[in-house]
Amino acid sequence: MKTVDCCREEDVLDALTSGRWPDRADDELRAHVAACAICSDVAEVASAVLMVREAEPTDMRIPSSAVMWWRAQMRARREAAREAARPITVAQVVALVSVVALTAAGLVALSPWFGEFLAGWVSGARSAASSGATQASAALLAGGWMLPALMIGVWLVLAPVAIYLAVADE
Amino acid sequence: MAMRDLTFSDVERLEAAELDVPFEMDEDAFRAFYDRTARPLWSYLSRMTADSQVADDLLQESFYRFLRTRGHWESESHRRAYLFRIATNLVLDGRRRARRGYTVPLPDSDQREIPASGSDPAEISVRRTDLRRAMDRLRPRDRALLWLAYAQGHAHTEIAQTLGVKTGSVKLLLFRARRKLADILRSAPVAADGGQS
Repeated sequence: MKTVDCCREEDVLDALTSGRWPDRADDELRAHVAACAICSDVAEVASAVLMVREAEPTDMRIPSSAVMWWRAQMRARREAAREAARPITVAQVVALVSVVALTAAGLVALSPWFGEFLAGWVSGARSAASSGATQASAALLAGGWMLPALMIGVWLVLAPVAIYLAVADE
Repeated sequence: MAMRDLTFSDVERLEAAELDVPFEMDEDAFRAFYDRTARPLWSYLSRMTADSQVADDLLQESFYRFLRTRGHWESESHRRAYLFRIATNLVLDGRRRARRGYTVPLPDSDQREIPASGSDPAEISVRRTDLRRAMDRLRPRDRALLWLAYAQGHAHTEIAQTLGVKTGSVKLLLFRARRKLADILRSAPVAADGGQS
C-alpha cells in the first residue's frame, strides 16, 4: 500500500512556521527531509503556500463586524418584508385579473357593439372551423356558454402572467 | 420640539433598532466570531477566486448565510468549518455559473523560471507571483486543501467538514494535491526554496 504521510510531517511544518527551516533546522530533520519524498514535498509545498500567504495584502478592506452585523440585519429585514408582502401582491394581482375579466364580461352583456363584434367573431370562427376541436369551441361559444368561456379564457391568459409578475422580483 | 430632517439612512437605522431580525447568534457573539474569522476567510476566498473584489462580495454573502442558518455547533472549529463550507460552496457555485471560473489565465509563463529566493524585494515579489500562479493551476479543491492545511493550519477534521469529504480521505487528497503542486514547482527550472536545497 502506498504511503501517503510521514510521522515527521508535523516537525517539518513546525520548523517552517517558526521560521527555522531550512537554515536553523536540526541537521537530523534536514537529513530526513532529504531522504523522505513525502517530507520533501511537504517542505516545498508548505513553504510555497506560506510565501503566498505572506504576500496577501495587510491592508485588505474588510468591513468591521459592526457594519457587517448591521448590513445583515437590514438585508434580513428586507427579505422578511418581501416575503410578508408576497401574498398581498398575489391577492392584488388576482383581484386585478378578476376586474379585467368581469369588465370584459360586462362589456359583452351590456354593449351591443361589443356583442355584435363578438358574435361576428364567433360566426367567423364557425365558418373557418375545419377541425373538430374548433367546431366544438365555436359551438360552445354560440350555445350560450360565451360569457363564462370568455371569462375563463381571459383568466387563463392573464393569470399566469400576473402571478409571474408578482413573484418574479426575487 | 424641533425635528431635524431624517435621511434615508437614519430612517433605516431607526427601523433596524426597533425591529431586529432574530438570528441564531447574538450581536456580541457574532462580532467576536467575525473578528476571529473574517481575515482568514477573506484570504481563503481571495486565493480560491484569485479576485479580491469577488472575495469581498463572497465574504459578505458567506457571513450573511451563516447568520441565517439555524444550526448547532459542537465547537468553535466546527462553526468555523461551517462558515468555510458556505464560502467554498459559493466559490464552486460561482465557478459553475461562470463556466470560465475565476482561475487567473496564465500568460506564457507556464514554464517560466521561478526565481530562487533571494534578498532582493523585487525578486521575492516576482517569486510570490509565480508561486501564486502555480497554485492557480491546481483544481479548486486541491487549492482549498493546501490552503486550509498549510496557510491556515486547519486540522484534517475541519478540512473534511469544510470541503464535504470524509476525514479519512483528507490525508490521501492532501498527498495528491501536494504532489501536483510539487510537480508544478519542480517543472520550473529553479525549484522553490522550501525543498531540500
